[in-house]
Amino acid sequence: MEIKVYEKILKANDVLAAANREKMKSAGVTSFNLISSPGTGKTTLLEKTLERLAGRVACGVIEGDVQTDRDARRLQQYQIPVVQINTDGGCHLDANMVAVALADFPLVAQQLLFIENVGNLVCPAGYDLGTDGKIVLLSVPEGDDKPAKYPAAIVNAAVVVLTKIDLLPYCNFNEEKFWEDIANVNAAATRFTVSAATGAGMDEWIVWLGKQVKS
Amino acid sequence: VHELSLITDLLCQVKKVVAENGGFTEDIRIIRVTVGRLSGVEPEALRFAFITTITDSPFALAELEITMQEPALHCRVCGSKNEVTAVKLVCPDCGSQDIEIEAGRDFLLTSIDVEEKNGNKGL
Repeated sequence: MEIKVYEKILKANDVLAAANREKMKSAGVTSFNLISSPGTGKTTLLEKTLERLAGRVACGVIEGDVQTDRDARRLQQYQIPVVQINTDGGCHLDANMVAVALADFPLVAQQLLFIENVGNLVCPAGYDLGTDGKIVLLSVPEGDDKPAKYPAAIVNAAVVVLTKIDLLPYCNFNEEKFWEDIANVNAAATRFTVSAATGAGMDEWIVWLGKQVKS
Repeated sequence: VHELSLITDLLCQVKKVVAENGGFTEDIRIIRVTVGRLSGVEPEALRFAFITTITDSPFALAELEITMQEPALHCRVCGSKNEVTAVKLVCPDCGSQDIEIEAGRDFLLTSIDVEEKNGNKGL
């Protein structure tokens, strides 16, 4: 006898993600899920971003890492609420981990919440966390072929950020081809090219973030 | 890769559905799933995780049938619907990139075969 089902395997995650979304929405917070390989510069971009938004936009961060609270400690100097999640070997954050982190997070006082996922361009793509959008970061030294190789991460991203553009002269990176491959899987994504080290492209990024604040 | 945890979630869901239909986990023979090419789920890793997990469990006699699903696009410009490859999500009819992905992103449980036994119609 055959039982017809047709259900998403990650249904439980989607239900929790919807609850997270509702919770953040009612607190008036705009939230983003930051996804990239390890070493693309998520935390460095966050540091420079928090520096520039200090005193203008109230920001909070949920940090996801396999181990250590090093990233959370890096961000504590900005005097903002930071919660560290350690996945203990887990390759991605899921909606339940974020729900636990949100339970005692001062949400109402925040305007922007950044959730920095575990460094991984594969697994985080499958798990909705309940954020307003996904921001995928790819760096120049990773190579221009990554959008074509990892389409699942990019396909429903709201934003794609190309980081470390100060390294363009030293890498064999075809920027035109890179954006063409991005357009092939997600033409609608908002694009930024930045260097957190030199500050190039940071103005556009900060202006855009400012516009995402709901109140 | 998180295929092992996906299998755990899958078996949890299967067990629940079968119980709701009055069946027994031990009588499950086939579990059918659909894997979207854009889901990030790797079918070989999934198969390996399945075999590892079911050994010596009530699911031991179950088989996993995987159907791969190519991305299906709905073009917002010309209105056509097409299956495409995962590397080029562009309308093959008019070339537009203004598209909606209708399928290919999910990992789905589609059906379960339960063996019929005396006093149990398999359900």
